[in-house]
Amino acid sequence: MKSKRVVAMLAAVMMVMSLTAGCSGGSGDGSAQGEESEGGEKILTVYQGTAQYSEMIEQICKDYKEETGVTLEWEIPSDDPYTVLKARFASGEAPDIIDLQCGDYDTWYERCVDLSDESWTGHVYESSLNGGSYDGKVYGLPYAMEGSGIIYNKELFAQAGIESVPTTITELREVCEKLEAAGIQAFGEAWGDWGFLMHILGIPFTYEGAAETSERLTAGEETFSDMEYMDDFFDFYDLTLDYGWGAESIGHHYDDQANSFAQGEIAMIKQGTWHTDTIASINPDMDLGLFAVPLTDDPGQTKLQVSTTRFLSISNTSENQEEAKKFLNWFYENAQTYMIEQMSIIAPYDNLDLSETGALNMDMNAYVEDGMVYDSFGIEEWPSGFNTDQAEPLQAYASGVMDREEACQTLQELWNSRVSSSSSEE
Amino acid sequence: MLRNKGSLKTKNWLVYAVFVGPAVLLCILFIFLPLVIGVYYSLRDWNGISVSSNFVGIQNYVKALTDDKFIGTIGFTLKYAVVMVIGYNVFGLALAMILNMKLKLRGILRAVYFMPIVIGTSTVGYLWNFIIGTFLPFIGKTFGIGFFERNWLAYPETAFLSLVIVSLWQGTGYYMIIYLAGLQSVPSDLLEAAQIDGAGLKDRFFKIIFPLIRPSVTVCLFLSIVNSLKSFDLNYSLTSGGPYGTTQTIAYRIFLDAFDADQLSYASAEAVIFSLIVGVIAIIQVKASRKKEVEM
Repeated sequence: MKSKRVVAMLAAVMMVMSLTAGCSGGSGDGSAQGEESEGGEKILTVYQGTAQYSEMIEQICKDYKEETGVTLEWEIPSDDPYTVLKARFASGEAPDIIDLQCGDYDTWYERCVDLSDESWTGHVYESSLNGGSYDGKVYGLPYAMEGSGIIYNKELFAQAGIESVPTTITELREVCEKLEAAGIQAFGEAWGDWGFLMHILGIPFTYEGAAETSERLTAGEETFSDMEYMDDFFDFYDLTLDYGWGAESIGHHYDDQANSFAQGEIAMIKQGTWHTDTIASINPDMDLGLFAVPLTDDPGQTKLQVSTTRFLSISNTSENQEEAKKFLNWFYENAQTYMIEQMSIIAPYDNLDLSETGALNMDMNAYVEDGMVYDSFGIEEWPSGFNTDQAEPLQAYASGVMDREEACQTLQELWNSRVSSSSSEE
Repeated sequence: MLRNKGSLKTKNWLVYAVFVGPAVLLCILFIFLPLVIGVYYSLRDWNGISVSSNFVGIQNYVKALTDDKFIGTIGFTLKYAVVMVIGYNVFGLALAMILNMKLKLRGILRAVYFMPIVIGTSTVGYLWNFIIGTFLPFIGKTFGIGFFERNWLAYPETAFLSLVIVSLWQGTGYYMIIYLAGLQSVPSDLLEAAQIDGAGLKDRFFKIIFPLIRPSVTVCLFLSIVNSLKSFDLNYSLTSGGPYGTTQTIAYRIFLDAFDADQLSYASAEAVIFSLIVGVIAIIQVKASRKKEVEM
């Protein structure tokens, strides 16, 4: 009986201890093997961070194989791509080419090959190039430029008798009132997803100067409460709640928002050019437009946030670095075919023909041509981890649990704790 | 004779090694080794990506124990665990009692109640996310049922309730099966004898059935405590820890710190603290309920 008890106890302890197993990670030196299959044909492995480009990737793999004989093994994970990628690096199975986002490079540069001497660097917009750089060196080939703003249903706007897009917060409020009077729900926001709250919280940063504001917050010279456009931000946030799903906005997510919008139940959603294909897949005939989020009554400040969001980098443990560089170059040269014609997404290169890239991109282009653009989402310089943290106080504000001051204070505390943890890592 | 005895001993050892060896090896490889590595990383400042890291001592532990958010998730997890342990065991035992009676559809009903545990928890989470977040409000608005009109996942109390209901829906069948096995080992002659002696339903349950199924109770209590403390996937897929972080369990918090906030060392420290908490609770429980078991 006694030994039975001991065994049971041991079993219990072991089951419990297995808990920590998931959080350990390994000390991989990341020695990826240069893979060559039987016939000696070359293989490049690519790891994609988003499923958005699946269709294009399929086509590229086929065409690249035909043209050069190199096989691309392009992996598209379905969920939580970066967790998987970190595990790959830790276990020494790093892919040759990895797909990263702007803001990733202050941690990921250690794993990437310096691409500063590649010929394409001369044709990429400088602001885009900066997003894939660290300490003056280029580590990523930018390939997607996206604009963040309010997408609106032109048909519903016409029904409510609205003739032009609002360029000030007062005009936006009038638009909401007109829509409400016409029996149309103005907003419908997916504030259950931290990613979209992150986008709108970035707006007051871009208004004030994104990099400088982040710097001042980190240095303690400024707080969220005294950020110049914070009140305007909350005014805008209130509009999306009052004329939308109210406190329940925080129970809504990307999918049901896209559905409701594409079925014409909502007139406006705060999204961006990346939404083109999602909406088209539900309702291809929708008449759409995009306009910049107005926070103030100065139309000169109402510029569209445009940022380079995705980059291709080469893993510095790859044994096929030269082959990978060739592929990046090929990808750059064929951006017109794949990015623009097939995906309707703009690549940030100065030698592309941008006509006919979809309504949202056309509207973004108009802003770019007028120079009415903030060249960031305002979030690039945030301390690591704050992008997910910020959602909690903002959701609490939407529920009425916090007021503006409390929300700002909590944002500040979260910011500070992320700053202190990242500085202790250096 | 002597030689014979000796070889028998070595033979026994060989038999033990063959049976236990593989399991021990797997345990070392997948449980003890990662645990040691986890402790190692908890004493460093690795972010999960960079090539090098430094030794920082117990700094991560100090930070975790003074981190209001982490302490908050411990509180939430304990609250959730208490509700779930009561729920799982009360409903599990009740269902087992009912399905141990001679019902016509007994076999089918047992399968039906057990079925949800077969579906992956994250699948269940996403399905119920749609049911609770979209479908029920639609039903509520269409038929004017005030109770369902609001999106339950948008408010802390109802989000917690959703979590409890879905967990129960999914997990109860599992405990039911363990209790059923226990109930079937209760000899019917004992119960008959008691009945003839005039023992009522209540007496039969508390004086005969319950003491005899104590081993099942121990197992079910242990499993339900550990499983609800470790709860992660449903929080991830059903509520995503929301609204505004009010339904974050410890495991989910550790995941966020490790992979979203890129603080793998800090998360390892949290995980070690978490294991200690679960370990202590589990050992106390096993010890306490073992004492009360009776053997036939």
